[in-house]
This record gives sequence, C-alpha cells and structure tokens, in this order.
Amino acid sequence: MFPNDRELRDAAIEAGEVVWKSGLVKKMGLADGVSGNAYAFLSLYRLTKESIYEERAKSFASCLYDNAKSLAPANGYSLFQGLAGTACLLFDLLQPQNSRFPGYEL
Amino acid sequence: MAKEKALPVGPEEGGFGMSYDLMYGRAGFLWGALFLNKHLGEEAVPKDILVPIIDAVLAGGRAGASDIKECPLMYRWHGTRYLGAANGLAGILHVLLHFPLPSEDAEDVKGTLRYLMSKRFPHSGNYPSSEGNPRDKLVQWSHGATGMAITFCKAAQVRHKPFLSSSVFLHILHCRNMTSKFVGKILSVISPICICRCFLMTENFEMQR
Repeated sequence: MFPNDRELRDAAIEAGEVVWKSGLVKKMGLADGVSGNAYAFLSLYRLTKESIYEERAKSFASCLYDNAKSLAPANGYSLFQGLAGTACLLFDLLQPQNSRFPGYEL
Repeated sequence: MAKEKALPVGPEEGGFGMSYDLMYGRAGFLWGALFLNKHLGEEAVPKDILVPIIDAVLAGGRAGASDIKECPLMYRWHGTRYLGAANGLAGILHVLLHFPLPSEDAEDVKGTLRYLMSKRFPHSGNYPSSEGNPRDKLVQWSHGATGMAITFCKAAQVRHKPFLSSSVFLHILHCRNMTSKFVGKILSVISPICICRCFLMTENFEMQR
C-alpha cells in the first residue's frame, strides 16, 4: 500500500507504544478494555515477528488472569465487554501467529 | 440482508440514511460478507452484491470529506466524525483494506490513512476519539491508539500494485530468454520463481470490478 516507506508500520509501532504505556485500563473487554488492548500487541507481533509483542500481550493477559473477577462488569460474559472476549484472547495466545481480533481481523 | 436496498445507496440518492460505520452500518455488513466468504468460499456473498456497497461507502466518504482539504474520505455517526475502530474512520478503512480496489480508490484509502496518522496527539502519541476532540483519555480498541495500531498493521501488510504488470514482466523475461543461451538457462530456472512471485504480488488485485 505504501511502497518504499515504513510510514504505516512506524505509526502502528508507535500506537503500540501508547497502548503499552497507558493500556492497562480499568475495564477488561475487547471494545473498551485490556483484552482489546492486548490484541494490538498480537497484531504487531504478526506484523513484525518480534517476540517483545507476544510478551507484552501475555503480560496484559496475566493482569487479566489475576484481576478478571474484580474488573468484570455485572453482566460480565459479553464478547465485547466481558469475559468472553478475554477467553478469546487466552485462546489466541496459544497460537499468536494465527490470532485475530474477534469481529475485526479476518 | 444483502437485499436490503439502503446498503448500496450513495449520497447522490440521499444515502445518508444508513450509517457507514463498522458497528451499526455498512462497513459491518461488508465485514460480515468477508467473514462468510473466508469460511464458506469466495462467492458465498457474490461480488455483484458487494461492489455497489463498496462504491456507496467510498462515495459517501468523499461527500463527507468535501470540506476537509487533506482528507479524501470522512464519515459521521450520529453527527460526529469519529476516528476510531468501532464507530469511526479506522474501522471503515480497515474493512476497505480487505478489498482489491482500483488505484484511484486505493489512493483515497491511502490518503485517508495518512490524514488519520496526522491526527495523533503530539505529546502522548494517542489518537482523538473524534475529529476536533481535544480530550486525550481513551486507550482502547473502539477509541484511540489500540484500534489505530491494529488498522495500521493491516494496512502495512496490504501489498501494493507491482510496478510492472505480470504479463509485461513475463514478456520481458521471454525476450531475454531469446538473447543468450546462457542467460536463457539461468532464466529458465528463475522464471518460474518470478512467475510465482508475480502471481503472489497480484493476487490481491485479481477481483475485476
């Protein structure tokens, strides 16, 4: 799409840095929480093949594993705001090279 | 759903009725079609249904961006120009990136991605949730840097059109094959590899519109 320049790749990496610095938010879901933010690292992992992004995704997932119960909203099973999205993330972490943000990546 | 008449209606016929975003609008329909085609086969939702909807999304974006100088495509959801993945520009662009677009349309998608990158908050590196919104708080998929990171990752992996079309390339290889036996021998080994490469480079652009 952008031949001979790394503009998009750099923008993706820089946005990923923002997610790493400020992405441990108070919600857990895919749409507005930590699970969705972890998926940004999985996208970067598939783009760059650098293991640091897999590690970052796993560290966000570890936070979810420890705090999921306290972060879960009242109806906590929804895909985009609750535990179902976190479950998708945990499954995708088993095979990060095949990960897909549910409902977004194909 | 594909028979829903509002989906392919462009702005010239008053097509602002149905929104364009991923979560509630036409980009969401297109994503659903891509999902079905991935899992059930290429023509599960046929091109002749999808192409008019893609064209309507592009036309709507051009009309919506008519008052913004550097931005080829822009959309509103409930009156607000959202930039994020769920209701905004990034989500619509992400869906469009999955289709093989003619070069003029691809240029507009590319220009809009550039515009999106220019909206980054200089201090934090995060992205605003809507056009002109100075609030720098949300870092999540639906608003802010997360959705942008995933969208830019996809865009960085979309292969661009090769400078030479594969048929021109093959013709050149063929002519060179004639010039020298030695070169011919080397090329007879290399050519199949090149042909495979050409095929891989162009496969994204196979869909004829």
